[in-house]
Amino acid sequence: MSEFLQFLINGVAVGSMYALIALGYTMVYGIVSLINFAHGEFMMMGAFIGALVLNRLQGTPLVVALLIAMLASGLIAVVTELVAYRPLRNQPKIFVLTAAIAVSVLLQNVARLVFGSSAVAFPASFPEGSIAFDSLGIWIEYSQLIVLCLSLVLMVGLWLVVNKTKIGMAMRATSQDLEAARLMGIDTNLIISFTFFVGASLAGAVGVLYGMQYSVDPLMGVQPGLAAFVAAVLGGIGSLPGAMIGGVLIGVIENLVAGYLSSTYQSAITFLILILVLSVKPSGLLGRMTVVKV
Amino acid sequence: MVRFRCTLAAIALAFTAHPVLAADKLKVGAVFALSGGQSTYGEESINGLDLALSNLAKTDPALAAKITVIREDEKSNPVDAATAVKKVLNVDQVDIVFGTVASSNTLAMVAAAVAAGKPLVTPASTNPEVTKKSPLVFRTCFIDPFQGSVLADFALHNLSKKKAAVLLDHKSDYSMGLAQYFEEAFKAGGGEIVANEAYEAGKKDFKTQLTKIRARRPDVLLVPGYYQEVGLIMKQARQMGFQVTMLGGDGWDSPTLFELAGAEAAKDHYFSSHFAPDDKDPAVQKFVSDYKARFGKQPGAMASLGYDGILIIADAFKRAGTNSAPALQKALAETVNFRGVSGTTTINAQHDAVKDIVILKTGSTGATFAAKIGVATGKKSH
Repeated sequence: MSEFLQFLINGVAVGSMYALIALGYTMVYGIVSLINFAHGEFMMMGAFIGALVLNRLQGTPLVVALLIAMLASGLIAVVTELVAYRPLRNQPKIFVLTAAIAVSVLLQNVARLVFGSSAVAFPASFPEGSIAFDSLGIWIEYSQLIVLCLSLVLMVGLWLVVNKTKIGMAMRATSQDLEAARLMGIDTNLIISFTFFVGASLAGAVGVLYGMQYSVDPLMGVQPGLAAFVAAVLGGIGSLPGAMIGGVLIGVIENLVAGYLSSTYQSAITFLILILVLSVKPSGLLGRMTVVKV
Repeated sequence: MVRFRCTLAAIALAFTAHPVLAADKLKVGAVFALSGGQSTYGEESINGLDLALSNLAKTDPALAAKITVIREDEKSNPVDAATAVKKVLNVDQVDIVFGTVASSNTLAMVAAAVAAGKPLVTPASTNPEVTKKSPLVFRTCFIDPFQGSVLADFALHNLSKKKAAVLLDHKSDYSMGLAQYFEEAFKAGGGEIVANEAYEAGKKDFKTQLTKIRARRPDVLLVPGYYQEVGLIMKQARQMGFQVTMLGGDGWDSPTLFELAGAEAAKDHYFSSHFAPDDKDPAVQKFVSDYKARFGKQPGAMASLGYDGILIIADAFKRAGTNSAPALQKALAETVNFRGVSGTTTINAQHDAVKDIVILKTGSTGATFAAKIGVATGKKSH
């Protein structure tokens, strides 16, 4: 029992980061029907920029570095959309998907040239130590607790923006029907830029959290990016609560598989479960079935 | 169709009409990881190579003048390694391939070198399979069975440990090979393997694996991976209050390990390697001071192997007197007691190097010499 709880805690801590990344995938998909494969790289950029700020400007509070990383990741995403995706918007979908893969490789190589290819330790770290629940035989590390709390704050923040603000209403309208939203006088280009900005700044925040817990390198976005993409599909791509649940689920499944089945086949079994879920419910857990008119 | 054939003939002619290179020059294709996860190793190997050639230019200028080196990046993965080696063989037409570090990547390069009929010398790939593929393949370092069994012996006798756990990278030939030979020797010596867990390079969270291992209460943990993951494994073990002595191979040998793990978590573990910078041997001390003067940092094991590897090639080329593949192959196979900075190398019948192994103990910021363990028999266990 105590092992199970411990695996669960480890899974939720990692999964909440997957969830934050998955939100970006699902928001962008919801609004322009694009799987933005460069999304993991926005997270990586956030980590490097956070580290850069802390290294260059000694004494910068961590919160400020986090905000700068979020802002920078968001701006990189806005520029990416403007330069690489927008000109292709009216082309077949495969064009812009290919562009996303190209941007992903480009950003990895830019990071490698600018920051070097080797993994580096993040200049700041979480307070070491953990809260032990001796009666249950489990412990929660401070870092896990901070990641969880911050993820919750960011998710609530996102929910408020989407559901309680005017721009959020415009986002929902654009995701329902882009043409109709434009006819209603919504500046859909602005909304699309804003969506990219918000999604990528969440990814940038994860980059800092991920870097602080582990390490920073140009390929660090690949594995969590893939896991988050799977999470978004599992939760039902286009659905915000779906992305959150999907992210946490993938984290938990990964850790339970490693804990009880096999750490050797962790990824294989996780993806097998995904295939099974999708073959039973292809729209994902919370996704809507859409009817494509031909 | 006729036209197609003409084109083919023209291409064939173009290839055969390629100007014949002088037989007394040696063109070396150095393929190493200059980017990606193993780039620290690639950079060190190339630095070692550069230092060796500039020293050779002083001690034997006539020989040094005949050697040119073409560098290519294998990007830390087998696919790009295969591409890079084909480039140096087909475009640059090198006489011999020198590279690389990770065994999986060297294995990916072997086929192309053998197809081109050129010898390949790896300075640092320790997986036994590498030299079994073809008599054209040589290595100038020890092999994993030796590394694994020395570590098992060291754990049993020097550290008096009886219960070992293993946490390996299940996508790496190097990691799995080292673990296998460790387990065999550890069990043969009366030890017990209490847990066997795996991870995938590129992942950064190992807490669940460590939770499982901790529950089995091992007194020593073998982590035969590369520094990027090992550093994080040390850090996470400490974060969860799991105190255990860790053992590893030469994949740990990088200053990055200590940065990633943090000073406290990095302390008091042991790994086997090719070379210790604080070894009192005067040849080692001269190498360390030369390297520091030129590159501004302490050399790691890969620097010493890159240094020795290219000098072993140069030595074989000098004895062969020609760049022809059969002559180079014969001369390499006849290498006996070559004195280098990473020990004295003899190439055995399997084309593996027979040489000493060094055990280093980690401190908070670097590792220090702990023991030197005698030469292997050179006979592979089958």
